[in-house]
Amino acid sequence: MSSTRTLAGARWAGAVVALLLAAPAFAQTATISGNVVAADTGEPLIGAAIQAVGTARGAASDVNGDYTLVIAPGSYTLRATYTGYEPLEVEVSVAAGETITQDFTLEPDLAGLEEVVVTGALSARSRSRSEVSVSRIDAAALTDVQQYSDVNQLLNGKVAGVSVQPSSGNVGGGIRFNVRGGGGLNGSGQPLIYVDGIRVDNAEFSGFGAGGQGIGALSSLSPDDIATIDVLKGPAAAALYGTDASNGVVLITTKKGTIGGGVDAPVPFQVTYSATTGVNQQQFEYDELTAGATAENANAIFEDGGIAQHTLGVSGGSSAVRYFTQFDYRDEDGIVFGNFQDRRSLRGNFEAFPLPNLQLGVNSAYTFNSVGQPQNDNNILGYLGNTLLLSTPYLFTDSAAVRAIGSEYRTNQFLGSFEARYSPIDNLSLRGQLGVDASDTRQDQTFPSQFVYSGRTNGERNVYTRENDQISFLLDARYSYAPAAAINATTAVGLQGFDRRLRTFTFGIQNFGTSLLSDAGTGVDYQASGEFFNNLRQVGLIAEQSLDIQDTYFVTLGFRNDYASTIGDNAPSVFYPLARGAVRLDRFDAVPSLFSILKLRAAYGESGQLPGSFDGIPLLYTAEPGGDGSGATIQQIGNIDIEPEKVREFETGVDMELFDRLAVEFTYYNQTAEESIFGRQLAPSTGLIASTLPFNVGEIDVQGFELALNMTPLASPTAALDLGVILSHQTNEVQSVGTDQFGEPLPPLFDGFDVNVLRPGLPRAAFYVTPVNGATFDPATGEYTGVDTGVLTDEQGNPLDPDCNVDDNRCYRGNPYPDFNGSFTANLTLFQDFTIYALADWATGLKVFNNTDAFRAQFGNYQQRSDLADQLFGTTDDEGNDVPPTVTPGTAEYEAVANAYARTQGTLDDNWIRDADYLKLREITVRYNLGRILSRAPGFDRVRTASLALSGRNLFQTSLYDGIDPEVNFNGARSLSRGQDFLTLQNPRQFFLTLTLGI
Amino acid sequence: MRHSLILGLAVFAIGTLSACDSFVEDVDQPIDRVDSDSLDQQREIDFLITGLKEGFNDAYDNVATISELLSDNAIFNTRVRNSTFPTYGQVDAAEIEFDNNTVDGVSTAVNEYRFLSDDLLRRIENTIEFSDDDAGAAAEQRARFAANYHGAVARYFLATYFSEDGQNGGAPISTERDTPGPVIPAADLYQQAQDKLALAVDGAPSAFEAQVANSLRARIALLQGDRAQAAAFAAEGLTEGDAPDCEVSGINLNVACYNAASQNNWFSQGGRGRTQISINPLFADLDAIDNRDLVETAPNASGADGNTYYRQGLYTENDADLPFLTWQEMALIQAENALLGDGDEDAAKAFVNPVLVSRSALENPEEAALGDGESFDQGALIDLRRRELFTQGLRLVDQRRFGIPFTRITYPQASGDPVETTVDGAFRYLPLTQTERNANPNF
Repeated sequence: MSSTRTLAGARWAGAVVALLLAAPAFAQTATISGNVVAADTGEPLIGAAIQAVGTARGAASDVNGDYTLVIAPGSYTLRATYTGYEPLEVEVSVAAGETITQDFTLEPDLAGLEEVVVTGALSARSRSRSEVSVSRIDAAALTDVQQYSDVNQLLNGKVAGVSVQPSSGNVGGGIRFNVRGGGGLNGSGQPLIYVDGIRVDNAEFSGFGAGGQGIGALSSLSPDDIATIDVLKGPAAAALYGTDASNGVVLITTKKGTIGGGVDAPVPFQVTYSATTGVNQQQFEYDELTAGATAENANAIFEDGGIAQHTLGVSGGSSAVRYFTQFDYRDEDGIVFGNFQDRRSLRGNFEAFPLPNLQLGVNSAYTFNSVGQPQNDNNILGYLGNTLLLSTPYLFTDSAAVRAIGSEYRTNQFLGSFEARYSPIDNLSLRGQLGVDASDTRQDQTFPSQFVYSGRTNGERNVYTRENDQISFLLDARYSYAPAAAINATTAVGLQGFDRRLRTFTFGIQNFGTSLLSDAGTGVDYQASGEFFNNLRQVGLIAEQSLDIQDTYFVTLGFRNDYASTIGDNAPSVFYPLARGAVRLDRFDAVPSLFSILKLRAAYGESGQLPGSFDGIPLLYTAEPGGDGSGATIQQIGNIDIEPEKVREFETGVDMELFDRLAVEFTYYNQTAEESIFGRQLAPSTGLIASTLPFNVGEIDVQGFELALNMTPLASPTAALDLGVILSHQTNEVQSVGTDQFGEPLPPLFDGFDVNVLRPGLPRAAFYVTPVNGATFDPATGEYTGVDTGVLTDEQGNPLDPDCNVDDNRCYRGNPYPDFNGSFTANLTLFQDFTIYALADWATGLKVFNNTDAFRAQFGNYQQRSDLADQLFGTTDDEGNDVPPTVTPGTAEYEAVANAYARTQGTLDDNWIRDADYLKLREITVRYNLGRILSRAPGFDRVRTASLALSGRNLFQTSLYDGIDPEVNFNGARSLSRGQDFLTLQNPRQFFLTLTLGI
Repeated sequence: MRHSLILGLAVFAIGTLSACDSFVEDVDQPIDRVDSDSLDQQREIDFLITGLKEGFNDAYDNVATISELLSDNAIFNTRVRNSTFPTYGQVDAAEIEFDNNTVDGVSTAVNEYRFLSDDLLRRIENTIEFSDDDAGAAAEQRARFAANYHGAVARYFLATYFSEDGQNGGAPISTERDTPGPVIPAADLYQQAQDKLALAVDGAPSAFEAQVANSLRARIALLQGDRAQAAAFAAEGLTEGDAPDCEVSGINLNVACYNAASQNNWFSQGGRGRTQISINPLFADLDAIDNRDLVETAPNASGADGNTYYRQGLYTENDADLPFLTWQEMALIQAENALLGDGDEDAAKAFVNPVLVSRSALENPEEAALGDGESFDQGALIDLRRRELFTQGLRLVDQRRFGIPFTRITYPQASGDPVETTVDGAFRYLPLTQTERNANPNF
């Protein structure tokens, strides 16, 4: 019996090996083979893709640049593509049994304009032909050079108009996207994110809080799994993704298998291993100005956090089957105790080409991600709250108790998709795609019983679980035809759907007999529990018609009609149109030949944001358990008239490539969001304050420009220098926050701290506060009596400061989004093997509300205020002797000190809004390619690639901000509270050493 | 082949169009919330009434704690461990910013409570169909009483504790979401409360419930300045033996009830849970003569500094009951009318003595009663009310009624005795919050 099983197993193994290794035998076949080399260096290009256009047949070049494509007899357009090089197409004909040779010499593509990128839900074309601005990040190339903890780091500074930052320095924390200023007025500003066609969870969530920060669902995705990231930045590009796409779409494509093998030993697979060791360090030290008397204590909370990562990948295949598998393990400690991320992921991507007109693909990844969160932000249990606010540390909570709090999220996530492409007839392509993002997260938060915590008796145990299952599907058909000479047309229709089920559960209990047991069942005092469930479905019908006239004029028209379970009665479905056009001016003789590409483009599109699942229901009740039992109470206030937010965008721009050395991409965009959805805090006197009221609040105009320059001032076999510059400018103005039922304008909307506002005439989330004018004085004695606040007016009652409003008694003090931001990149390669890469990014016109200092002033640990108080009122020395004031009432000096003192009063927000422009040296890497040396060494002849890289991140900052880190936000990534620094953990400085070895 | 394919795709597209609506509508329903309209049923009456009582529990401990802090009974003392929120300090100093989120919390609780009571009345009158049998009549009676009684309590809270300018009581009640109303002066709110209480008494399901409603009528009449009317209502109110006990009184109208999930704010904000609100050390002396534990020592934030700090000692568990109306208060109202209205000190003492005895720490409590030769004046009445009604949010009212200076206790930088100083600010009520001012165009 056992031998039979062994035999059967061997047969299966043999079949699998045969499937992997052997090319399929066709009844009638022909063979095309050849070589692919780089035009600039003459070196063979390893892994170049050779595709028979319009079929699913293709091959990849091996280590010598050679390829072999077995195909049915016929005439084909063969396209050779390789990252960083312009694609090349040639026409070939091959008869049954014949073998022909077709070599390719590829020109470098400096700006990546010839790369095919996703330009919409149903379209993909090269950027040289695209009618919209699409940014592509070659993630595989970046991760080859630099270490990245997560997707946020991979994206930041790489795309004009997109900034991606963590809301705190926590490893594994939430990510804050800012895409063209955030689309509509609606708060989150987060783009849709697709991984291999699967719409993935882009939420930041938190169970039992650790201050203000949450967990980013994207933190489970390993950057090393990613091949490319395409970013559609606004409705003009993303319209056919429909509802929820107004903040753009991020399309992540993971790595796929390619044919290749070791030197002199061609085998149909490659093995790549990389190991990283590194450290997270405190980036900014506290001093007397930023931490008063407790700077030493604040600095003492930081410790170096180790980083270790091991990645093992195997990829390869044949012309019939390709595969990419990778195991990634990352263990990273943050810069304060309790912050860590332990991520293990296993990915398997498979492609099969069983028939010339059929392609099947499976992408799957399983990730276990464990994230530990320390207490910080608006929180008396936090490290920073205990070391910054009071002049004596840890008065709120003992240091050992702070350190003993455990808060860990464990997530198991499966990402999987299946895709089939089928061409039943020439030029007709059908695609079906089904994907699932299923994740289970559990948070355990423990306050050990041997420590004293405010509000907790003998310890506390909290458990939070979150199940998020979302299925997305896409069915589409594309038919390409030539309605007239030199005109190519493509008609595409599709159906895209989404089904999400989210279930959460919370449970809390206190009073444990021993700290040795944290089992919730051993606690005595039940605190609370709760469940939440939501099922959301969306489906959109998509149609697109595109024309390519003489490969010079490009026009696309399309629409999407969306249906969703959250759309209110007034809008049972939503229609989103799209229109685009581009013209390649370089095709005209009048254009100088220095332009290898010169393209003008313009696009218009609409997208939107859905209301929340329950927003259309006027009033929802729940049960409140208490001392009298379980009784009805208000859960949520809804709005039966709610409609989806609609965002319209027009963009126009120019793409050019000059002298084969300089590529320029410039885009101007103008967005108008109408009927934006925002949670309005109703007047408490209505009694409807259990939640905000979702409201179509009006209109906001956003406009800006994006400029991306890529240049290669130096390109020779011994030295190459690539430089990149990104510049973005964005302004926005709230036009209206809506009117009431009588047509009267509704009042402005404020965040919870009453600092950020949505108000007509001001930018989104503007800082809008009651002004502080200085001190008030006793007219008789000249002594300080208090703070002079309020808008100053002239004799006619008009404000002296044009940024102030008398009726509101507030002044505009800037906004938390930078007016300008950008980055510089430089990549220097010497002698082909030695590479230095650096990225610096910056922002100007940025303001931050330094609530940390505001509270330090209120709690008496703001040294500047204490010094001013000593000058005004006197003090006592260490021996208890009175020290008199140093300034005399009535003098100019006294007034100056008094005014300065008034401007440090902690409770007045105007005192704490700060300039926060910054310039950061974000990434730097020195890398040496060991491959050529090793391959010549005895015993290392099978080495395909090897490199050693030393990298750093957040190495230097210069900033106007007087706080610590201008990039953080105390209230996580997704609230109206923006640019508010309140005891928030700074981002770490990182150093890595990475060794990569491939055979 | 091509025609078939295109036809097939067209049929598929048409089928898809019709299926889209049903696909998105066929979703599983939530489990943690229910449409308001689905509660418009007789069988949900008790669920709604319980919710109203929970709303009261939440509103009452909020106003009780914060108003005591604004009065001279309680203090914000950062030397007490975990006494941290500057917003509490503003209240203690009577110098309150409109965006004080502690006051926001009180405002939210009271206003939501008001809504729940008025909404129950709306359901009774417009949407719920009661059955014609005894069960239906009883359910309607219970519901009407609860809606009127709690509607009155909510208006009493608004009138007594909120103000636009910090000096004159009053608050808006907004019945339309988009058109918030103007401030209703305290006098008008009190009258609305009295009208509702009159209806509540008339339709009270039991004598006890009528007594509770009359007790509140008495308190409000006192605040309206009509001592005689107050005494008359008090005489119809709670009497000795009507203990405010969640376990005993059954319907619990005169007491706020809590459990570990809902937590008495005196425990969670002014007690062992967390001590944001400390107590004037004067109460250590009162504690000595009272048979209750009025205060206990609060933990010092920085170790021994030579001072002893106090927090309330009445509610040492998170589920401790918080009295709202007591027979002792009714006696004191009648005593006040006798003393200050009728000028009859002996009659006043007759009302006061049972209260003194009930709280006496003496071995023989009867010795606490005032004898014929002992005087009882306004000062003594005020002091007795301060002790008796401690933690119930009435000291603030008495300071306003009797013109008692608003003071606070502060501690010198180094060790030393506490210092009583006049408060910095002018707030004698909690301000209508910035949230209200932002959303209400009447400001």
